[in-house]
Amino acid sequence: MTSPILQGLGALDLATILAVMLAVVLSQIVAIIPGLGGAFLLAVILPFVFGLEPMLAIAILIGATATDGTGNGVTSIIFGVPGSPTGVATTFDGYPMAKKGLAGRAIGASMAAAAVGGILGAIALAVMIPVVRPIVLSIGAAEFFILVVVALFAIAYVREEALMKGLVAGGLGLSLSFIGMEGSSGVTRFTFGQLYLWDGLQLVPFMIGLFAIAEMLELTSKGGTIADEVEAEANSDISGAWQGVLDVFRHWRVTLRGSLLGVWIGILPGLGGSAAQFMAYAQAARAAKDPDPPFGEGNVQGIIASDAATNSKDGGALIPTLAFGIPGSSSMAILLAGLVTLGVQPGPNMLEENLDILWMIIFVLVFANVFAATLVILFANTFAKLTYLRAALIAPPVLVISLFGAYATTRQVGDVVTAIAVGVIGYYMKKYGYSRATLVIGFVLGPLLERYLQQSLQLFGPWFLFNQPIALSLLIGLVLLVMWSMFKAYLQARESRTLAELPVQGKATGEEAALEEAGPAEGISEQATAEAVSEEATTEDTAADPSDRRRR
Amino acid sequence: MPSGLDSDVGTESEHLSGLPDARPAIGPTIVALLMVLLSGYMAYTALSFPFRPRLGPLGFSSLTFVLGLVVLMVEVRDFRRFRDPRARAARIAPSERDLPSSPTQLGVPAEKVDALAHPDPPSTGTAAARTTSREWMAFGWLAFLTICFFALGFLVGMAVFMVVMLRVYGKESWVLTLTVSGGVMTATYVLFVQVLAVQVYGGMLDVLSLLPL
Repeated sequence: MTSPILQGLGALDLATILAVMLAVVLSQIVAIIPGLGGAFLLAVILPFVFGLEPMLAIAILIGATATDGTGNGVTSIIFGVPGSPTGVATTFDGYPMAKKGLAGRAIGASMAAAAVGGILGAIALAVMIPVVRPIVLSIGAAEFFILVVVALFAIAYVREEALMKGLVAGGLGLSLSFIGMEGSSGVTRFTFGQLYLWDGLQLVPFMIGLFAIAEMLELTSKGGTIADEVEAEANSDISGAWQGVLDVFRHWRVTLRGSLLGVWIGILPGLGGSAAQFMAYAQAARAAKDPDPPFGEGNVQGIIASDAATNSKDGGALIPTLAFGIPGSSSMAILLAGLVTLGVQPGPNMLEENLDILWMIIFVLVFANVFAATLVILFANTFAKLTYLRAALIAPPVLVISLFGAYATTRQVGDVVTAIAVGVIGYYMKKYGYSRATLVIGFVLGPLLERYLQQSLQLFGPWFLFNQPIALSLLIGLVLLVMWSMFKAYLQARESRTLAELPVQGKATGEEAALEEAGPAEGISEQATAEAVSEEATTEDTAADPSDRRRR
Repeated sequence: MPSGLDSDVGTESEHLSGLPDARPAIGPTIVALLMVLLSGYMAYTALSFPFRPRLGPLGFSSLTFVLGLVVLMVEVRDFRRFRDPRARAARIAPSERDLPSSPTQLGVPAEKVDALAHPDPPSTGTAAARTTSREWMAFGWLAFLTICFFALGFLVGMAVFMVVMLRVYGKESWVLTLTVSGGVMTATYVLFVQVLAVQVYGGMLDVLSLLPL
């Protein structure tokens, strides 16, 4: 095992380090500006990295992905407005701290917690390799097939009230991946006689359309900037950051618990950063004995728990992505697609022949998180000024760069058409509650799924799901999950009908009074977490909508 | 007043109270219908493929078609319920039912909880009409971008697009417009044409060939 570790470390030459630093800077800029997010950045930089040497390209992609939740703590604390959904929980205690003149301490705690969380996430990834490796090597085509189906369902299941829409989006993604020439037979499918479509829809223009152009359409139609809505006197005195850094180690139990919770949530497909931050926050609030000040009024532990979890989840999310080739979010799906295009196949191949790449990824995770935290602490005020950028200044350059990127991959005009068409589709999907995460995961995994299906049929016959024990177990789990979701939907529908018959005023008085008496920490509920998770699934790694702050 | 944002955008409950202006949104139904038609077409076309190439498209498109029908039925049901005046009068505001009943559940002030849980613009009332017109404006800019690209090509077309959009949509000064446009076009030219050696599309009019460069 020492050789791949040294090879991975050796891959971090000066050029790679500088490239990772650039990716981290871009990631922080994108994290702070509302309307942009992690998946958007990955989609835009994909065409630029494909021409590079694979190790360098992978390092850039990891650097951009691993720190997309770090920088938004700045706006959460200074303005009380998150730059992306993963910064919401930071506002609960960060903004009150800033109002008390403790913005510097809050930012220091936020960044240090993010760095420590990211490092612990990388360590978790390293520790899990020998554990996961024998599992991955023992499962075959049938198990991979049903695993992918389960993952798609699990991601759609996150938004329970839009489960069907999520599944439709996943099915649409799978269907779109079948466009083009089928690998084994050479039969062209859904090409309408167009030579351009013989290779199928290209990944880069597809991603650029879905995440970059769709977001710019939304930004253009909404306009504005968060800076117009914030208080005139920004709480931007950031002296005292070092005390915040020390807080992270002073409250090491909170940091450790938040990080481990983030890793676990990262492993589960579909939950993402929003679930991690709220669960960690709730857990920290429940575990604290007589917190002073109370959570929600400027307790630094609230910031530490949520930010540690937000960054550690990336290490956890990389485990199923790299080991099984099953991404749990749109960012991971784009990363996976990028790796495949660079010639690195996640899954058993990664764990057998490309361990050096895996170790390089771990080292890049550590470096990127430390660098991002240091950068943001030193330049917090400069980053905060980015929030004054208006949609009118962001949209035109981003649209132009996106189209350049879409065209540059294969130099075909059809790619530009694809990006624009998919951009329109992505806009309406987001608007009407269809999960773009399941769409892109279905699109990325479609060819793989078809291959596993054909291999399974060839090796084990039409009943392959029933004569392979592991596959059968996963199938039973899927059926139980489907039945459970249908049962819950039935219960919720029945509850909605009952509520509709109640008078509006005073309905929740008793419950509300009880919760206010209990205080914020004890009242945090699964329902509240689920609502936040469903918003994350809607916004899908993109920044919070400027109209969220319409009544500030 | 925040620039570019609707001043009277409020909670969905406030707009439900403005019933005379309320218009049910047909958009979700249309999108669901398009999903059904697309998946149905793909499943039907897959029947003509040989066995192995047929498996994936037929299986997953058929499943998508069935699920899409369910979604379509739900959207049609919701659309018809919305139009029913008795159902509208009895409807409870979603912000009171679906959100945590107390903002202290998250330790967040009430207006922030509501704002965070309702990021989308309302689908009813005058604010909805304004939102729709802004949407058409955004699509208009996308159409203009497409026309510039196909007619004038990358370098000239994108430069024209940026200048016009920054001046007309952004109402920026000429200095800022030309600085941003020039900077972006210079950076993309250096990166794509010089470094990545991408031969850029010249457009149907091939304007670049007319220039004495």
